[in-house]
Amino acid sequence: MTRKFDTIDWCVNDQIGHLVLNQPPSNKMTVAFFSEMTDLKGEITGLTSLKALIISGKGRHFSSGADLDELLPEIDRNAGAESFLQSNYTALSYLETLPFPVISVIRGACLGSALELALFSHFRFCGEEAVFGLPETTFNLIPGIGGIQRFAALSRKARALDYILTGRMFDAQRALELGIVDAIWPKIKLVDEAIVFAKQFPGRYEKGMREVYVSRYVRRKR
Amino acid sequence: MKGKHQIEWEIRDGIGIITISSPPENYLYEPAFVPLESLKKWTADPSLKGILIHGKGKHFSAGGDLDRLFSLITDNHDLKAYLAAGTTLLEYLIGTDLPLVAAIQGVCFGGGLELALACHIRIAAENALFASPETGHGLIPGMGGTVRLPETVGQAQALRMILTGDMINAEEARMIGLIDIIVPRHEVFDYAFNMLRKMTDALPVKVIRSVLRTLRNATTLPAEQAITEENRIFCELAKEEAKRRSAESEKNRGDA
Repeated sequence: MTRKFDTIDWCVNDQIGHLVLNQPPSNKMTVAFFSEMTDLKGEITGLTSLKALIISGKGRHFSSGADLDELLPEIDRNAGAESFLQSNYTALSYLETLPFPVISVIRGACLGSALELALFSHFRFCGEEAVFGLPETTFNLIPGIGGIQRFAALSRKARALDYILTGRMFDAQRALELGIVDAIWPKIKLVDEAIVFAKQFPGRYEKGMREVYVSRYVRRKR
Repeated sequence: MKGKHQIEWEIRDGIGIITISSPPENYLYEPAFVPLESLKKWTADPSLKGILIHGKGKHFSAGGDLDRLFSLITDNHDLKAYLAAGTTLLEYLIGTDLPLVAAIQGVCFGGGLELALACHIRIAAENALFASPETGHGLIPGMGGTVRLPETVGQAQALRMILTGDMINAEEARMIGLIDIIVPRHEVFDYAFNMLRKMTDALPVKVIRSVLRTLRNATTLPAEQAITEENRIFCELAKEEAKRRSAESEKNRGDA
């Protein structure tokens, strides 16, 4: 049941869906990526027997975020730019409402829209060398895919404003302190760990499970 | 009149500074501690990038002037309108969509705490003390404190503070999430000021306000509407940025 995409690598293995951003090295989120994510949405939403969905980036990085060189001219000449952006939003936001756990595993860069994508997942795990940031304001933009609210909800308004207005990057340890990621794991084992983590779920993900499962898993690892 | 000059305003490097200036306690003489019209005039400056609120001298503010409040009640004053004016003032400040930072030292009680809670960021000195003592006088926090305190520190801690009126120190305040950062006493103003500068210096006012507006919408609008608004704001900024970039590359081509 594997469909072919140009910008995404998608497969289901042992009842776990693997969605890989597949435009290395930086896995930039292009117009084609958002469009393929929209195509994939129907299929993933229909897979109610899935035990979990794991999102990752091919190669060394999760993703450096939206491709502004492509996106900005597109918005500028597109009369229906707002609905174009709205569809980019819904191409990602539905992940949050899936009935099974959605886990982002993050290696390397996770910037801008890519961090916003990860913030739509229920869990985020990263490697020690991961780098995060919402640099949009430094390009005279704002994080436009729900990132402002979600960052603030996880880390407090003060820190969200500080990182969003300065646009500066932060490392894995800081991300853990901010509550942006749930745990830091060795990067070569990240996906395997995420699979083990996913398998402990009874199948459904309910709001509020996050703390319980993270703390239980972290305890068991000690 | 005693209340006339209790609030000072200045703009320094694009940052508006509100000084509660009735030392030593910096009581807020009225809930509307500054006339709304003055505040509107002050904040109308289009180059303004953030607002810092602090108290003159050793304390932030000991809160409302209860003697005056109770004397007004016996005078049959329109108390509801009197209190509502304070709430309107805080809503106006938040509605400027500029980052609001409270620099707190010494006491931060009652109405003073409610003012600090209306800010996005609270920087406190090691010697800062916080309390919500209204219930001890047979009252409750009347300027949004019953809403913003639980939002900030959770219901359990908010109830404890409001029902007991107990004072907590800076360390406890940070532990329960009431404040964001503790700094040495003599550095609190500079820290807050520099933080605001660092956050806003490089950014156009419009981008700053867009971020703050989007953050505010998340709590004031229904989710769907907040998303539509975020979309619209992003789109507007993106179009401007696209035009700026193409103008720039046009210019570079001309230069070459």
